[in-house]
Amino acid sequence: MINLTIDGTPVQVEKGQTILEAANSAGIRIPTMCWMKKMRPIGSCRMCVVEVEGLGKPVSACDTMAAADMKVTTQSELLHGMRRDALSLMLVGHPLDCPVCDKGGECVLQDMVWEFGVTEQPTPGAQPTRDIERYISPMIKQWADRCVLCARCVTACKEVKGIGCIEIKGNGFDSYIGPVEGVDCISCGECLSVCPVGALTDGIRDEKARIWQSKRITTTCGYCGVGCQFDLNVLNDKIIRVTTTDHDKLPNFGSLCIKGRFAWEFVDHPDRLTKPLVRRDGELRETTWEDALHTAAKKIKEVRDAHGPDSIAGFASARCTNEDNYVFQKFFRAVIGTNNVDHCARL
Amino acid sequence: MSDLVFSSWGDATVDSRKQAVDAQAIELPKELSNGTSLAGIMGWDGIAVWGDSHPVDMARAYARGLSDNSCGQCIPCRIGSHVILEAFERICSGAGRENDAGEIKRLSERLRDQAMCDLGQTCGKGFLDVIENFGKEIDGLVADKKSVPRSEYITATTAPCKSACPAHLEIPTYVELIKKGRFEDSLELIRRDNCLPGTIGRVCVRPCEFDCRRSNVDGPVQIKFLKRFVADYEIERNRPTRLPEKEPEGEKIAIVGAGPAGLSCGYFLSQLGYAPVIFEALGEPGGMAAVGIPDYRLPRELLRYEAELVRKMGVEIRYETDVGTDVKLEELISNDYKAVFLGFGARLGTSMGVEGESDDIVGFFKGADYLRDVALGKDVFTGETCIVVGGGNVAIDCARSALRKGFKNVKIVYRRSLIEMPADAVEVQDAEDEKIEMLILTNPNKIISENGKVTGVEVVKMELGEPDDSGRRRPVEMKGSEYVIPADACIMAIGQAIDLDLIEGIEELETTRWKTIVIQGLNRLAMVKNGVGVFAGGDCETGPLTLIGGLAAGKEAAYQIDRFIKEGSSDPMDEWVINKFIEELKPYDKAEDVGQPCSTEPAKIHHKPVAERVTNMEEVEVGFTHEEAIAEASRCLRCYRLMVAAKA
Ligand SMILES: Cc1cc2nc3c(=O)[nH]c(=O)nc-3n(C[C@H](O)[C@H](O)[C@H](O)COP(=O)(O)OP(=O)(O)OC[C@H]3O[C@@H](n4cnc5c(N)ncnc54)[C@H](O)[C@@H]3O)c2cc1C
Ligand code: SF4
Ligand code: SF4
Ligand code: SF4
Repeated sequence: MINLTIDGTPVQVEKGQTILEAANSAGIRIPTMCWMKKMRPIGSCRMCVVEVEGLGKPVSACDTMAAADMKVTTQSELLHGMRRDALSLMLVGHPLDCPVCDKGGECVLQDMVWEFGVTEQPTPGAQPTRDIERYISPMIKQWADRCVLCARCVTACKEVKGIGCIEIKGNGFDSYIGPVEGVDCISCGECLSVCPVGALTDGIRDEKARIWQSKRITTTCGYCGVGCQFDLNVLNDKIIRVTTTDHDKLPNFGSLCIKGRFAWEFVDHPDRLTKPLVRRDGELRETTWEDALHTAAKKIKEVRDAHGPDSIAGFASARCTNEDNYVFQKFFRAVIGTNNVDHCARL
Repeated sequence: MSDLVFSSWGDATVDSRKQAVDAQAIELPKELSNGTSLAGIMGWDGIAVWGDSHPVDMARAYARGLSDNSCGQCIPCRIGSHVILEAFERICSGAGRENDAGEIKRLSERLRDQAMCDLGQTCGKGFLDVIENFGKEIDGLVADKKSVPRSEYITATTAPCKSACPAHLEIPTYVELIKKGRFEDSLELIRRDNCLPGTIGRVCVRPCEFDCRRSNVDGPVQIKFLKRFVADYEIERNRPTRLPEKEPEGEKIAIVGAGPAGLSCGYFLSQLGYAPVIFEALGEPGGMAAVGIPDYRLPRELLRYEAELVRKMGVEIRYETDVGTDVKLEELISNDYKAVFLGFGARLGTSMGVEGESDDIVGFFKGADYLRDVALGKDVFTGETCIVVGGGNVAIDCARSALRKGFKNVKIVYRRSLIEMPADAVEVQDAEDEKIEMLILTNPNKIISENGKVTGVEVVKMELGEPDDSGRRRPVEMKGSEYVIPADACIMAIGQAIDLDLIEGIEELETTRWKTIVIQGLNRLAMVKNGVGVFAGGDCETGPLTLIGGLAAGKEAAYQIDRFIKEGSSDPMDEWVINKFIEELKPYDKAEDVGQPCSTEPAKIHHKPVAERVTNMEEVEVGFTHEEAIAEASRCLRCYRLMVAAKA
């Protein structure tokens, strides 16, 4: 254990913890933009600068390890100026199209600029010449001019998903996020979910809503047994998006796969079956649940009596609950009398 | 401002506006080794002007350099550099605004204090130097709407580690790629400058680490081991090898020796579109890396694997072909080869010439010969006690090999004390762990033998006297302290010599009294005969030195050969000239206060337990885990620095 003080408060942490982690554990807030708990420190935004007694200049709290007897100051005029200047530099070349940006109202840059009282855009009109290549997935729209190059997306893609299909390209002011040659995107939307600004937006639906206009309903993903948590964004009783904003929540820490994040349009798809169908005279016809179940039971019985129980097999779905699946196999074993029962998640 | 002499470089300030001085007062190289004369430089240690160049224009060029080289990862540099550049551009073209200087100052302070890496930080410092010392001039330019003449500049980036590496590997970037988990990209980058990453990652003498800025804080970044990690990753994970692109094969080039220098020369020549043919006396590649460095430090399969990749690049290796015996060097020079590279190393063992020495007595060896016999799997003599004479890495290698080959007691006899021992401290420690005894301040007098077999070594005790030419205290014999150490073997591990038989009869090739081949300089050209350029590098040119030195020389020669053939020019490549200039500017300052807290020690290198390792030749050191590698790479401070030099 290491003892240090942060803003005069004694803090004790394990060796190997950063100054930022130490501050967090003591409830002391150091402003950050690129840092996320679920990833290794990135260090790009330089908002987390702190002063350490005895060192000639401030250090970044996110990637500097805490050391014994350190005396850390997180708020000072110098630090405030540095943070403010970093934010104002982020606005150079930033389009300030907040009114039409998807992220308006929940944008980290907006919030911080507000917090630090940056009221002017330095060198208005400066525009990087970004040699933009098409973003790698049609599910995700890229607004390169809104990008603050925090590299959260790049880090998440490599570190959380193990893919690494995007990187910072170019140099200096003209740097941009672009695809890595030869590495395929899996369209999981991890980048989208960590972007602090509106540089990456959901390309599925045109309907949009501000955070205060839509409802966010936390639910469990139905696609597989992991039980990922996400928020259905609901506007006028219709789903318009799936988001994950809580990156500390078990079991998925805000990460989803392509299905969880983007494959929800079946919910209100016109082709979706909402009533049972039974084939009669070679044609599928709508019917009542009672009739459908009755027909199925009759057929199963006929087949079992004519050919024996092992002529029937049951195949259950991973999208049913555990309880449903339990009952399903019980029904096959105990009622029909066969062990021919399987499940798609076993594949 | 053509009569201005100014320097804020380092600690000294020279300013002709305050005190009459001439350019001599600035102790910086004022021309490149190719004769290009300079008017001033701006870099990580300040700004210096002594000729016809304007300091504000130089700052503009510096801002341009930063903005072109900024990696784009952090805000103060990515965008700050752009805003600073725009302001300097305005000032220099006579369109400066009143608040431009103030804006530059504020953003430069942010750069210096807030940028993520040393590129931004040092550039910030440079701009502040300009504002501090030439603020009045800038105000004048802005007020009078006056523009300044533009000079021509050479722009280069470096880093302390990169500059110290003879092959100038792109260390900060490949370490950063490891930090980001991009191991294969890191290896690909290493391979751009070095064909034996796994080999160098194990046995390099690591000049980079001795000049690593992290040493000023809490210990150097383990650069060598990180390189090993990515090289191993590719093999262990069975990942596809990403080799540099090669051009279709063209003209043939002859290379003597498949050691590091020869392999490296071939590797780069094949990328440049040639068909290199290596003539190698032995039956395997690697030179001293194969038959000198023992397998427990550098597994042979790895070396062979890496040499095989060089072959795959299109390099032909003719084994068991001794130049001089099987084929004459003259034939190579006059035949269908467009150029020749000499990389034949220093293959002869040497001895001290003390009484009783003879190659005919059983148990007496010269170090290089002993190691070669062990490496080639020959049946080497083994007994109870072995005395190894010498204090360098070769002595340690001999001692540890002798132990593994069955000697019960191995003692190293060295005439100075442990501090003076040239061997790497890490290896000395490894030897001590293996219970190899160090008899320091002791020197052999006589090899004692009976019936053609070594029975002991008479030694004399030494004490340290006055410092000699090398600055080390000279050992002097203590009269009357002679005694005999009973032993059945003695290995003289005091150096290697160059075998020059192959150049016999070629008068144009100049050699020194240490039998090294003389080259003209950075162009590596030893002579031209019948229009064929003969180039040289590695141990045969420097005397026994290092693997990375050989690799660097091979690469340099390849590019020079290309230039020689295509342009008929033997001018050294600009890149080497600039690298050399940067070395003279000393990018590493041991005394610098880096401003980081001492909070992460270098990662520990794991070793196989002593009992398990001393009975066999298997590798002793164990590679990093992924977590260790990433944590170690995260210690790097990314010390890139920028330099612009104004041409006079
Ligand atoms: C025991 C030992 C340990 C060492 N340990 C280290 C270490 O840990 N780290 C490090 O950096 N360096 C080490 N070195 C030094 C390093 O191995 C050499 O500096 C390096 O191998 C030099 O490369 P080279 O290509 O110039 O010569 P060499 O490696 O000597 O290669 C020359 C090649 O030319 C061949 N050859 C010679 N004459 C002829 C001929 N007439 N015809 C055809 N072929 C010929 C030789 O067989 C050899 O294969 C060590 C050296 C020794 C001896
Ligand atoms: S796209 Fe978003 S997450 Fe990625 S670098 Fe830009 S701002 Fe950061
Ligand atoms: S080069 Fe260094 S200082 Fe510049 S953007 Fe990259 S990390 Fe920041
Ligand atoms: S800290 Fe990194 S960049 Fe700096 S000298 Fe060491 S290895 Fe090189």
